[in-house]
Amino acid sequence: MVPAMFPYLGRGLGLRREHYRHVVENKPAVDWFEVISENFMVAGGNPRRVLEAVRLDYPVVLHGVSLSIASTEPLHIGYLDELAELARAVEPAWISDHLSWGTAHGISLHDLLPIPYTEESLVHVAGRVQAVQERLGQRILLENPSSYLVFKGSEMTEYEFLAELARRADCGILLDVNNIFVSACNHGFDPHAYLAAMPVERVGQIHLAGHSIEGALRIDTHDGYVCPEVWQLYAEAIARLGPRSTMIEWDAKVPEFSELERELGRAAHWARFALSGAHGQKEASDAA
Amino acid sequence: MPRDGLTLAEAQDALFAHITGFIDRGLAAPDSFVVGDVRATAAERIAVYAFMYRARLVEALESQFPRLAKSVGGEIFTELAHGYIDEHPSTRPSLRFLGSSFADWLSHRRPQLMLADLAKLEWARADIFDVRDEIAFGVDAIRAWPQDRFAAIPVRLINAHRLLVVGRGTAEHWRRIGDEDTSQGEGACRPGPEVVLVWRQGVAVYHRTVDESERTVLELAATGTSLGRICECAGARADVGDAVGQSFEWIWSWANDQLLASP
Repeated sequence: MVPAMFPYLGRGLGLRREHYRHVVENKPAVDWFEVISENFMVAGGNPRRVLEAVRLDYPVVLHGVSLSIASTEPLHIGYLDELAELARAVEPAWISDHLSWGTAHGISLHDLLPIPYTEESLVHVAGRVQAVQERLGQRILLENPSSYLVFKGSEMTEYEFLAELARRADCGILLDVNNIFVSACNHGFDPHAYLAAMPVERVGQIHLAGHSIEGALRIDTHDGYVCPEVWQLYAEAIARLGPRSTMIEWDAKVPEFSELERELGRAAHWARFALSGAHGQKEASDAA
Repeated sequence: MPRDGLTLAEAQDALFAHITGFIDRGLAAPDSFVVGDVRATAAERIAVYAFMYRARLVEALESQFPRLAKSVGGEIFTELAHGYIDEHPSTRPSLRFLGSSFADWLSHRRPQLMLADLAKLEWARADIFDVRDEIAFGVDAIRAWPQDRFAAIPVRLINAHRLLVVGRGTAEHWRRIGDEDTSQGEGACRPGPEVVLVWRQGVAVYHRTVDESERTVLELAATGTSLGRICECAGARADVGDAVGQSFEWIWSWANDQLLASP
């Protein structure tokens, strides 16, 4: 196995408002928590109080949604400074965001929009990642987005782009296995080829989530259980990458915390299955 | 430059225009820059993002103005939200600030109803939720203050407070919506203003109406003053009989509510 550039934290969950009290009071047996950076980039009050309490007992990673790393607007320095301040306070294991854009003409769309995968985009995004990493003083991870469209002008696949971006910018990858599956279904590419293209050492974290089906498209809604195909893909990822910090994203129709723990238990089961070699043996027998 | 001739900036402009509808000059046709296939056409794929853009912002506004949304119902609230978003799109990385101008926008768009005042109250409650914490100057600290120097007791309200002037009956209307009490509905509104004090105590946000005399001294206390100055101010008012007694009563209640910041 090639060691990852990022420490292995085990299995974590997203810290969501519905579970603040439960987590602070009961300290559940979860290895770590991921928090949405923007929710805590505030002066004080309950969000910061909860985060400080959780940080006393757990490793925390910061996951942003508004970096807009692929935008052609200037980097939002105020945002970066607030993120840096939060990072100083929280001392996260790492900071991540998405390979996407969400701002144009001074307007924030609050979405993770795709880009054309071209050499021009590669140069642009790699430069911005390096600038962000210099400002934050640490390597960041970028997550593959789920997408519902591809640009006609793309010159390479998303996975070729992401792998090359990580190499050029010297950043990490947050591999969202559900996003791979959703996008693969929506655009008709091979999810196994996507996994095979990932630079092993740069994948520091894995996301799992549920999605929904709207007509002919799969939508990344984070409102349900991880589907069987995504579990299979996750096992394949772990078999290739080795142990990777894994977390479940569940942001809408949020269930009881115990249900999230059960879903995390399924992730543990699939990871053990993958690392035992059974996954590879099954693939081999399927191929035969 | 990609094969279809669109640069990264042009591709983003084209998608931005389709999603928001803010730019319509020279709008590229969906098929000209997005791949369509048997699963979905280029236009249908862009429509997914356009739908999610508005849905996400409406949802954010609904979370910031839950009782307003409840009072007008989902359909009307969505219509109001769309109108607001078109004129006040989000310009900050966080959705936390999206509703900052909603009350003002409503006051111009729906001035005949109590919606703007309700929005003003809800925004104040949301706005102080994450203001920086301060050490409270509580009743124990007042008790411990030397009696011969009571006039010098420092009085400054915590930053996590707002003093609002709204239409009379707004606070009551807010309560009725929460209690699902429709016995009087907007009939509770009466002519004239009322002043509402909103503040955060720990993790909970509270509000209550205040009379004119308390409003005057609260405004004084907002920027920092002393108990002696509060007494003088109260004494100058015709509607306050026992200025010293009333001032102590105010200070005591503010301290109990953790409204006072430690000097």
